[in-house]
Amino acid sequence: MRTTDLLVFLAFLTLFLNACASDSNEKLPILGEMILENGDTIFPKIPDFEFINQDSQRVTNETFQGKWYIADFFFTSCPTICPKVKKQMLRIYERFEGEERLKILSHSIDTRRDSVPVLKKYAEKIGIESQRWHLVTGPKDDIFGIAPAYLSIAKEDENAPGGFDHSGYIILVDPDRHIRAYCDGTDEVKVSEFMHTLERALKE
Amino acid sequence: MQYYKILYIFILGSIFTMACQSGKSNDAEDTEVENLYEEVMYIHDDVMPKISLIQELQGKIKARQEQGEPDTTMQTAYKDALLALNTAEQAMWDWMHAFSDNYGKATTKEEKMAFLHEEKITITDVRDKMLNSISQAEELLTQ
Repeated sequence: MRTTDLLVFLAFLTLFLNACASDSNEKLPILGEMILENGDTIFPKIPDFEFINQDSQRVTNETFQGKWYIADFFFTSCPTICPKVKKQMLRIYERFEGEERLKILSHSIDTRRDSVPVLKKYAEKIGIESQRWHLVTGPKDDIFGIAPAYLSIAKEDENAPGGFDHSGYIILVDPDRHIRAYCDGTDEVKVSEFMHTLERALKE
Repeated sequence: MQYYKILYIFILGSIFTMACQSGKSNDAEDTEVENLYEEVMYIHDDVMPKISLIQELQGKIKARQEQGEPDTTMQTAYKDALLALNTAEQAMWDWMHAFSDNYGKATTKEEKMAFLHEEKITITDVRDKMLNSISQAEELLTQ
């Protein structure tokens, strides 16, 4: 009887552990409003872009080919939201040091003042390398034009404030330019959870 | 000898008490400055997200300008609305830049409070400009 009980227990334990393991091995969903095209399900992709980073280097979709990247929108003279988000993104930057498959792309929405030298100074102030974390600027229409491609996903969140390009959301994009996750970058707990999501993503 | 010991303890005690009181009043001053800072930022945070709405309205107004007949009353209205939106947006950016540049320059409590009082007035004016320009543009676009 005791042996039977033990076997039953081990069987349930095995099932339970497998269930947990399969959860963490599950791929992240692709986010965004899908459309049907010729019988295929199409998910929105980040469109083509071209910006300049803090080292005056051209940054395009090609810069992130084969990589995952985190995107956000900020500006250097932002008094409240952006410093909180940058603090949390630095946690991500430090946590994933050495992880070549993950990059960061921060777009400045202050296209008048956040020139390349200003972005360079800001990068030095927060202690980041451009090859891992690009701070970019570009024409105002291009920066504001691409924001909805990233942040409209957060717009669907009823808790997202109006004016989503200053909401503090950070977005995870996969090597196929699909959005796979996002979180409120001002919230330390949510960013901790997001880092677990990043670990899952990098296992795909 | 006993007298000097008592005097010594009294003097030390007075110094200690005064230091503590000074520390307490510093905390109170910091709180006052912090509270006023939060009031200023509350106004800013409430309206700054509307920058993207202003952007959107600027685009819609420009599209209407291009579609409409030139030299009409509507064109004048579009021009005025666009100017109001542009002015309001620029006012917010100018305020943030100036605040970022100047806030750290105030060192004493009086300077900080004076600075923040001024900034509260300015950001309130910026807020009103933004909200009014948005309202003007939205009403125009319904016509």
